[in-house]
Parts: sequence; structure tokens; C-alpha cells
Amino acid sequence: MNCRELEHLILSSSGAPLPPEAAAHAAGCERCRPLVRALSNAPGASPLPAESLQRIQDKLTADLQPVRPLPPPGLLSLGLVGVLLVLTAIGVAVLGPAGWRVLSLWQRISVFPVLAAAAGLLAFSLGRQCVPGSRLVVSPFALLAAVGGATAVILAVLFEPHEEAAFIHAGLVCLAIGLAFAIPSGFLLHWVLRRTAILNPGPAGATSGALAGLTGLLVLEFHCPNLNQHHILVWHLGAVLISAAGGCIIAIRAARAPDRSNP
Amino acid sequence: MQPETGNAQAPEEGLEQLMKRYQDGEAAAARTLVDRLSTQLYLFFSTSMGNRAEAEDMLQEAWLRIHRVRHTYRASEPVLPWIYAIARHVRVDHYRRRQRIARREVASDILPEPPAPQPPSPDLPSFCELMAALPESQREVLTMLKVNGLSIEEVARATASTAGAVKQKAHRAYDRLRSLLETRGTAGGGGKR
Repeated sequence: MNCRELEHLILSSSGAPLPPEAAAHAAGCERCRPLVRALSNAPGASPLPAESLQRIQDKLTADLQPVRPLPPPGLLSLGLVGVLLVLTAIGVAVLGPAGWRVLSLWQRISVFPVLAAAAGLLAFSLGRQCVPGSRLVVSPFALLAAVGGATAVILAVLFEPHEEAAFIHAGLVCLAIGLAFAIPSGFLLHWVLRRTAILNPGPAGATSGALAGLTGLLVLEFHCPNLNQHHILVWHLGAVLISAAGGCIIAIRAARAPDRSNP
Repeated sequence: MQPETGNAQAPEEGLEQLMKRYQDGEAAAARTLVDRLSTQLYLFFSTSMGNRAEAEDMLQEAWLRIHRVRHTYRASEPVLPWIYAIARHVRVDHYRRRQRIARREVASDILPEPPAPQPPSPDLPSFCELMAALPESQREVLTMLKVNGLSIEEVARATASTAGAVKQKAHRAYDRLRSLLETRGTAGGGGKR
């Protein structure tokens, strides 16, 4: 056994005594012995004054009412995806599917499943971030970076760059449309999550914002007939980035406000 | 208010069952949960804050928040990570509040009280002394693992991170503690003679 293996054992032991082999290593190793001794000196539980416990119990039971638990995580995530679908459908109905018409078959069967998968992953992550103590497989910011990066790469592969006379003007129009759908989507997502408890507002706000921005991106992919790669990467994807950054900032500021309702 | 059922529950009744009954409005379940978890929560707060009165305040605040968001507990999930996630948030808020007050006091030329001097430790520094030398995130992980006896998975859930990230923080903390103990051993020649 070496020092690193001993560390692994200390980590997984959760306070239980070390197995004989590990204890033997700790006893003979100049580096591990002080560490094991120091960690075994962890303070023990000291009794709390009975009146403190009584006071807490009285407060909790003073007007105790039954509460309705949150829906299962899958249902919550489904609700989040539902917001995206409804607003995208409204966007396509209002603005028309000019973009869909000019896409090749290959682009159609690539772009929309990728965006749907991105939305599904973000909704799954957000549904878990909003419930304290949920298991996260990937950190929210890592997931955002991965989803954003993968979407950008796939869009870059699917579309060709070309010269565009009114790059900024046309782009600003698309950005405005994207954000015009991202903002109501953000409000509706917030409504879906109203009963949850967000403990880490930064990542949850960014994920929520990215999800809202995806609504804008979906509407743009259906509506915008401009297939210039640069236009799509800068202005269409830009709506998602702005929305994610805005969501993060708003959530952090809201959490620091004195009258917040979340724990 | 729901009447207290007063039924004698089995001492081994799981925390998950108790939480479910608490959500159903049973006062007896709420009381049992407070009885069973407060000592550990208090230890969590006092290890990180080192002040008994503050730890008691935070314990009370934690239970009030737990009460407010008790509907967010899901019956199929473990209780401890849910509880510690909220407790951790109370601690972070308290720490921020303390920093704000300290800044204000400095601004008005009233310096905050210096921390109590550590007792001399010729052999081995105390656990709290060692914890104080660690960055906040590592201290938190080690406190949950070694003081509160949570598993890696439970700490990951409570801190909204992954098991891999928790292991990495713990290993970094151990590396830091080793160098600290080595420095002290060299400086004081303590414990190895």
C-alpha cells in the first residue's frame, strides 16, 4: 500500500476504522502517520441545550400543514422542454418557416435533433439543480460549455461561410428576434420552476438563460433564410450566449436581494 | 395545524419515512427529525464557524429554511444530502453577512475582534486548527466527510458537485495538510521523535 491508496481508503471510510493493511502503512509512514492522527482527532458531537431544540421544534410545528411534494424530476424537465416547444411553435406560426424551406435535407435532419438534444440535456440538468441535494453527473457550467461548444461545431460544419453585404444590420435583426423569444421563454421557465429551491443561482440562472436562448435559436433556425455560417454562429448563437449570461446575472442579483424567497 | 399523532415510532424509522410524514404535516415526525439531526448539523456549523452562539443561530435558521422548502424533498432521494445542501447555504449566507458587517466595521474604524489565539500544540495541531488552514471549499468537503460522516456521494449531492470533484478537493486538502504537518514537524520537531 502506498500513501495515495491510503488516502483513497480514508476518503471512502467515512469515519470507520482503517483496515489492518492501511493502519500498518499509516503506523510506519512518516508522511501518513500525522495525517491519519490529525483526521482522527475530528471533534465529536456535543449535546445541544434542550431548550434550543424545544424552541426549534415549537417553531416548526406551530402551524404545520401538509405540503404537496414537487413533481418527479422527469416531469419538471418535461415542463421546461414544453415551454420551449410552445414558444417555438408560436414563433414559427407568427414569423413563418422561411428558414426551414431553404435548408437541405441533411441540414434539417442534423440541426433540429441537435438543438432538441441540447434542450433536453439543459432541461434535465436544470430540473436537478433546482432541487437541493440532487445528484449531478456533470457540473452545470461544464455541461453548458459542452452543449454550447458542440452546437457551435455542428452549426459550423453544416453551413458554409460567404460574403454578406449587410452582415451587422441583418444580424442585429436576427439577434433581436432571438432575444424577443428568449425573454418570454425565460419568464415561463421561471414560472415552471416557481416551487423549487435554487441554492446555486449562478449555474441555475445560466442554464435557465441558455434554455430560454435556445427558444430564440430554434425560432431563428425555422425562420431565418440566411445560411451564412458566420451569420448563424455570431447572431443566432449569440442570442443563446447573451441569454445565458443575462440569466446568470439576474439570478445572482435576485438571490442577493434582501427579500428573496428561496432558501 | 395538524394534531400531533403522538404514536410511538420505531427508533430505527428511516429519515426518508420521517421526511415523508413531515411533508404530510405530522408534528411528531418534525420533532423526531429535529432530535435526530440537530446535533450533527450543529457540529457542522460549529466546526466551520468556531463560535457556539453563531452555530446555534445558524442551526435555527437552517431548520426554518428546511421547513419552508420541505416540499422540495423527493421521497425517493436520500435525506442527508438534501438537509446538508440547505445547511451549507445557511452557512454561506451567514459567512457573507459576517463579511459585510466586518467591512462596515472597518469602514467606521471599529476593527473586528481578532480570532481567539490557538492553544499551543507541541505534538499535533487540533483538527479545527488544521481545517482553518484550508481553503473554504476543501474545508467544507473535509468537514462533511470527517466530522459529519457523509459519504463521497452524499457530499457531492450536498455541495451540488460531482463525486469526482469531491474526491479531487479531498485529495488536495490531504496534500495541503501533509505539507502543513510536515512544516510543523520540521519546525517544532513534534511528534516524530
